[in-house]
Amino acid sequence: MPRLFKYIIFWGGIYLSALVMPLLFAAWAHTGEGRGFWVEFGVALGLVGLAMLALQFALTARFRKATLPFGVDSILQFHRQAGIIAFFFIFAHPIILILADRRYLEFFDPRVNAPRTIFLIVAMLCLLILIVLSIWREKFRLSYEWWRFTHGVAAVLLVGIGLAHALQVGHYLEPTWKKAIWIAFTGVAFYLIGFLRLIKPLRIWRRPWRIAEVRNEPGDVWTLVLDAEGHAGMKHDPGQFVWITVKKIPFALQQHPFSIASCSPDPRRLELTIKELGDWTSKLGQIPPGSRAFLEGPYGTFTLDENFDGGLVFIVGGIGVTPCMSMLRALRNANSRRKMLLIYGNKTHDAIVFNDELEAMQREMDLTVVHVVETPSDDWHGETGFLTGELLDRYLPGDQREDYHYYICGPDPMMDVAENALMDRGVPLWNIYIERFKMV
Amino acid sequence: MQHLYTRRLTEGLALLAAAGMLIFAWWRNW
Repeated sequence: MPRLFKYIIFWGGIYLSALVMPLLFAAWAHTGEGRGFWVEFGVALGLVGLAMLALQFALTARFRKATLPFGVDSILQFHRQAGIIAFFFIFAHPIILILADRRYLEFFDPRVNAPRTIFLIVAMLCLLILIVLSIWREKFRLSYEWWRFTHGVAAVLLVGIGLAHALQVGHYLEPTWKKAIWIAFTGVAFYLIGFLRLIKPLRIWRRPWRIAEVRNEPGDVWTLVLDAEGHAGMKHDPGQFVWITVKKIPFALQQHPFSIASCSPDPRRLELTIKELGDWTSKLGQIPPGSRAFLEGPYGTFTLDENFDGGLVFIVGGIGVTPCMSMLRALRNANSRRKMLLIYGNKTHDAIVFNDELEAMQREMDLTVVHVVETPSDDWHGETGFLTGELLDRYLPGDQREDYHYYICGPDPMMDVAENALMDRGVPLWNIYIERFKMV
Repeated sequence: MQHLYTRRLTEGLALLAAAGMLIFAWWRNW
């Protein structure tokens, strides 16, 4: 636990410093008089908002050092929350300025400076697009790929215009060295998105994979078996995930994060088990064996703690079983004697993926599998309905619950129930591992 | 790390940044 807090304070401190740095810069060596509280506050909103937007690029760059203690999913959640806050900061910036002093309306008057008006309106539209499409992507029936594309374009446009606007207004950006620092800061942000979308794909280009087999599993689920082509493959910890691009070249709109289900001792062979959900995954069955794919990763902190050898509880729903399957397979390969419990929710009995293998694992290890079926058939005698705290009470270890590690992965509502139920039952936060994939 | 805690952390940092902006505005007019 305490280590996680140290990381939060360290990285939170760096983030906050980067946010308020523009204000320190603005005030530093500035000789002009103040222009009234609300004008200065309005200006501060713009400066901090722009810094926040530029930092958004750093949050999605998937730095291993920074993401390692938290996990990519938490960082992306943070990116999402910070984006919403930046939206309010930036929107409040012109509103407060205009309310404080009508003369600021000039910025939106095309008779004064038409290009400026157009650019500022484009920037506001970009901001709206970024937020609206990220929160309500599914309502707009926008595919993940096209969302990702528009998100990147709108973000670059917005920050570019924001920088130009700050330079043009220039009030707090004199003398020139201040301008240079702002340009450099934004330049780094743009480099990071270029790094993510161009340099990273270039690096993995030399490490192609071949889809050796596309295997149908129960309930619209497919397993892709991948073989490394002419390289050493990918070492990963059980529970981690990769970003996959199925294409001849690694440059594509399509790049999807999926958990590695396998735990093969040979890093040149990987298996990804994927459920048909979105537009891309519904075509999984049509991928011809022999197709080329590229993998980026591995990522994720939803893994076993090397320094812990106590009991394990896995609470999973549907396809959320895949990362836990990788861990269970690793534990079986290691002839583990640890006490393990798997609570596994599914819509129907027929949709249970890995059912036979889990049956076998129960005989090979100290593992108890509890199936929870949402709509059971008449001959089903197990647990039914949704996961609840009462259901957990029937199976969780009665005492010493803090001596277990808990892994939760599945649909959002299920994870919320499991998280809260565990915390209510006295499980410390740092014993709970969570993987959330649904970002937009 | 928990989803909820990520949100609280973001909100906390945003509040601190907002406090910074208020101090800036006050201090510039001091």
